[in-house]
Amino acid sequence: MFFLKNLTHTILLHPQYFGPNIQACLIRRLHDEVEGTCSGRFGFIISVIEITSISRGMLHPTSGFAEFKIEYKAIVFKPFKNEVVDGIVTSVNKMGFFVEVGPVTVFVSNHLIPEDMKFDPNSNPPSYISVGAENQQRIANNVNVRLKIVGTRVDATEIFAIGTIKEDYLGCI
Amino acid sequence: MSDSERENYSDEEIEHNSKLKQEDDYDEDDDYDEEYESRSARNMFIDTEAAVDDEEEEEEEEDYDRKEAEAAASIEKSYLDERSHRQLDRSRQYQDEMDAEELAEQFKQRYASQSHGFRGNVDHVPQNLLMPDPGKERDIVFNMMRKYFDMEYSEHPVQILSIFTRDNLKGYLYIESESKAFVQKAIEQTNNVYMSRMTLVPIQEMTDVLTIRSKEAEIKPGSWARVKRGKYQGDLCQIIEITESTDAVRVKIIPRLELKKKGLLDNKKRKKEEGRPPQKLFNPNDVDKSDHNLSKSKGYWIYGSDMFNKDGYLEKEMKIISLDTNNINPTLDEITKFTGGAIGENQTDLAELSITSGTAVASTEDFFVGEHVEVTEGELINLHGIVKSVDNDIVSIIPADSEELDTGVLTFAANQLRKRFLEGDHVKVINGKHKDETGLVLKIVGTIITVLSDLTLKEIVVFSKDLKAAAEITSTIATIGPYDIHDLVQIGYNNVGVIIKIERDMCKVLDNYGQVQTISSKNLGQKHNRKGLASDAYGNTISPGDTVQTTDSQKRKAVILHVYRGLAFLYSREYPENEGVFYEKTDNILLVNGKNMKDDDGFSKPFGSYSRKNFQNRNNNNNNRRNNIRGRGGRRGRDNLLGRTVTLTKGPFKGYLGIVKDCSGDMVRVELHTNSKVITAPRDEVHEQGENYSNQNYSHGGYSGRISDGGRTPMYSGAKTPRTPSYRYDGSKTPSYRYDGSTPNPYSDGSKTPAWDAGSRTPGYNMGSKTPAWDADSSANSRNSYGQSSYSNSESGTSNYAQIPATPAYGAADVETPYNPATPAPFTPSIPQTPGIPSTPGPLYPNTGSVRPTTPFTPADYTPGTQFTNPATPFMPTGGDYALSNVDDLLPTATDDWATEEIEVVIVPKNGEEFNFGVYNNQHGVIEKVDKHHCQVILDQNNSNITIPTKFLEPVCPDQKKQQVKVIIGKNRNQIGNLHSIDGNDGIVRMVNASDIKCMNLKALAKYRPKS
Repeated sequence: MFFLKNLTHTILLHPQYFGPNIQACLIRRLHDEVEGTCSGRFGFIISVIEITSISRGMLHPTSGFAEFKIEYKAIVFKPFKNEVVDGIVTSVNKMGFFVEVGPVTVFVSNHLIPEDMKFDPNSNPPSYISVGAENQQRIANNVNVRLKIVGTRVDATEIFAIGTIKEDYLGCI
Repeated sequence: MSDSERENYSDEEIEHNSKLKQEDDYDEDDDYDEEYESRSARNMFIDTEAAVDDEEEEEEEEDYDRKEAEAAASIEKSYLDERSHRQLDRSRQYQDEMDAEELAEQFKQRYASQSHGFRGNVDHVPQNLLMPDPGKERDIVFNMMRKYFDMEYSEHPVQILSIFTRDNLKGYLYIESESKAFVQKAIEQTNNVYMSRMTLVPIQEMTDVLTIRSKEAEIKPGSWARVKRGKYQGDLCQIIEITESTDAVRVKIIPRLELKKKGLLDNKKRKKEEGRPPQKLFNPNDVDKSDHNLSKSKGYWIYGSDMFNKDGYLEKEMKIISLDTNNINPTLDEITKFTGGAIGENQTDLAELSITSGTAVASTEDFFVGEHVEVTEGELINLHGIVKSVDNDIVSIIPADSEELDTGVLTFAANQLRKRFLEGDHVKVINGKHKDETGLVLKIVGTIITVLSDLTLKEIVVFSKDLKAAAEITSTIATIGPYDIHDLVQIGYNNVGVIIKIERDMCKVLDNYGQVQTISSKNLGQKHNRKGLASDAYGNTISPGDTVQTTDSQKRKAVILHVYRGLAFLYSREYPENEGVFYEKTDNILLVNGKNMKDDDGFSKPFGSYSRKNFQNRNNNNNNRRNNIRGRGGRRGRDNLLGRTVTLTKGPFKGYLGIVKDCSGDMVRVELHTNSKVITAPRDEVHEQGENYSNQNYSHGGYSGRISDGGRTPMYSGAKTPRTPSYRYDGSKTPSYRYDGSTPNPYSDGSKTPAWDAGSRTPGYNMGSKTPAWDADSSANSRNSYGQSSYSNSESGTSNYAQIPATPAYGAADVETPYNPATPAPFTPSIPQTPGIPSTPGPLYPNTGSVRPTTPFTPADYTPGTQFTNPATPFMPTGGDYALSNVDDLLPTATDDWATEEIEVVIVPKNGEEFNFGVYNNQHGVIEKVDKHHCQVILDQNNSNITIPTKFLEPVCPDQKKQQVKVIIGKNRNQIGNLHSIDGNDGIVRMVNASDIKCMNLKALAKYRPKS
């Protein structure tokens, strides 16, 4: 799920950047340091959309670095259990398949794939194919799928999830 | 009988003189026994002695050898014999089935008289009935009980309080009574009791007698057991039914059958050679059809004397004592094998099976407070609760919906509960084969849970009782084979790494390139146990266990795990990456506190004192060290500024470029590029062209270091450092100053010079006369000594220096001649002799001034073999960095020699001039052809082919891994390779057509773009 969060970030700025463009420099640094990172608490910080405030810089007495505290608003993405998301299949094997839902990798195990979909090892690329159905579904690389997140594992720097397509309206889209 | 009387009881132990049949023969002949029993159960009246069958043969092997000839002769006969027996047997069985009622009647008649014989109050019994059988103790007890009740209201009641027997104590009865006489009277005229000895049980032993030692698991059909002895020893079997006698059970087991295919003789021989046959379900098709041993009845296959059910399991009767029924804990594998199918297919059956058989039933040890559980039986089935407490066999739970169900705490036996997990839960395996793996729950079937392992992304199947909800991903195991977490291990030929995480048979290792590899324990090399010593940025001796702080902006505080050559592997809990392990060059860390703590000036250092300096980067530190030496050792070789292109930074010629023609003291003579005029300028007013920070410092530092002996502040060293405002502030506190302040003593003392040679490893040296500067140098030496050819020169140079205590250099140092033209003898030869000087770090330290990499040694002078890229240098990325940092200024572009075909170049302005008025500035292209000082370049932008003076070109350094590169200077010039990885200024290159990997400065490499 996406959230708009007020977050803060502290930047240590080298004195070489002390100058008229310090503001721009800080903003650039903020974008560089923050976007695309993942914290277990908030999830992935997708994009900084607004800088709320930049504190006055505080010089570090020993190093000359200046410390700035920046408050900003960012779009964060955190997957939750039971959330239905869309993603793109990145790899398929007999254990199941991996789906990228934005920055999160979701694994859909073959236990959580409908019974009528079978792994076809002979197909190229490897894929899951529904047998017997009239509108044959085929899950291979780069196919868009809709899945429901069953569980998440949240590390300090990474979020991994498992998903299911064994429910109504899930699967290829 | 009142309680007080009861206290006076005495226990009488009576030896029950039954001639017990010893069980010894059972031990020897287990299989035979079972065999015998099972057969007799089927055809009790048929003599099958003549039958030659599998089992018997095994037992009678020795006999058989003797009788082999005889037996062979009678085979034919015995086959026939057996067949007739079997036919009879079968007809009989058929009859049995037909009229079971009749049979029951028969049995009733047959045994009716016998049952009377055991009456306790029968006065006279024929003598033969008194012949005891084993296990009559129980009967005696019952008889006595009956007798007691019979006589209770008679004139002579039986005055005993209790009587019992222990199954494991054959031949003994325990009788509780108030006197010996009562006991004697009570057992009078009791069948089977032949009193030989009556003893009072000592009070201490009374409790033992009544204590039930091990709680025997209740044997019920469907539960598991293991065979204790014989051919099936250790095999899992399932109990099908318990015979009436209750001392034997009928079990189902996977047979270990030796099929007779080739007839008896072959079979016999084969069996002797092999061990026990493997477990395999019986398949009638495997048996030779002509084998008369095979027959079928009632849905069973009978082969030899064994009965196999339709699925191929062997069913046989076994005595309970020959089975192990406690703590069976069958693994899922065994059960899978038992169910004879792939686990995925019949998981539901398996779950049922495991529950009914008690495999997956949890015990109290499996539950932890706070866990979610589910009730599996009773009226509260499926109730979801949270474990509140666990004691003995009772688990107290609070229902999860305690608001709605106001039940308070409920108590359950452990086997009535199972752990509750939901799909997607993060769990950890706490028992069994997959112990300590973590993963996400994929699928739940009863108590069988499929988990997706975090580390391997493979599915594992476990019982819910072996799982625990886990927040963390890491495992708690800290050892893998001989390795512990945080061990320094060899990886491959010349890499080492620190184990940062261990997970079952894989572990993650942070190697000395900063990369984290996942390696299986088998591929780990030897462990490095040696406790390395090194010196930190200020020359303090550091060793594993010391607390240090990094000198970079993060100032991470950490504990040293290992010192490996120039690298220190550090560990800090606060640092989340790589489990808190990281590495840093020893020059980039500072000792915070430790046993070796010592300040530059010999005084103990307050914590803050280093922090003022800790912004200085390691280049500074290097310089300082070098400066010291020069300060002490005097000036050797030529001035490093000589012949360099410099910019004047002050005075009327400020901004002008020129070449240093001469240096003397603190003045330099610069020939200006513009008008060939030679001017004299103070040394600190020139700035080396194209020089980076470190080099500048280097030269100036050297200068100031020398001067400082003469009383001048080393402020100059800081004066030109553009990036460090705080450096200037440090002023007189520059380490070089301190070093110099502290060094003269040990150094001017000639007798101490051998210490130099002693290197960093002499303990005495470390403890005593060590000055930080010395330590720094000696560690530098030790780095050099990692044997490789190009360094041997420098090594010898240094040691020469060390071994001649009275070299002019020392004199020079003592009198503090700032510039001593007479360079020390050992070094003079080294300059022309060692072609490697520009790049070898060794001489650079003592020789700071003399051997500058950018002194007019043109790349041509960098003779092969001495390039900073030494293929077999294990220490390159660490200690070798000394060399590399100096090679930085070995700008390949100083001359035009680097230019070679098929490399990517960029067009740049040079010395204020621009090619074609800067039209092509910053455009990239590929060199098509090289013609002395011009190159034909195909521009990327429009594919146009233009000729450009080489001086306006710069090679494009590779910036990404896996690029193809071409070496543009040095020994390997024009070789092509693949860039493996980038480590600071170094690129790790695998040459095409060569197996080895080389470590090269990126500036010696250019992007290779072959003509397509």
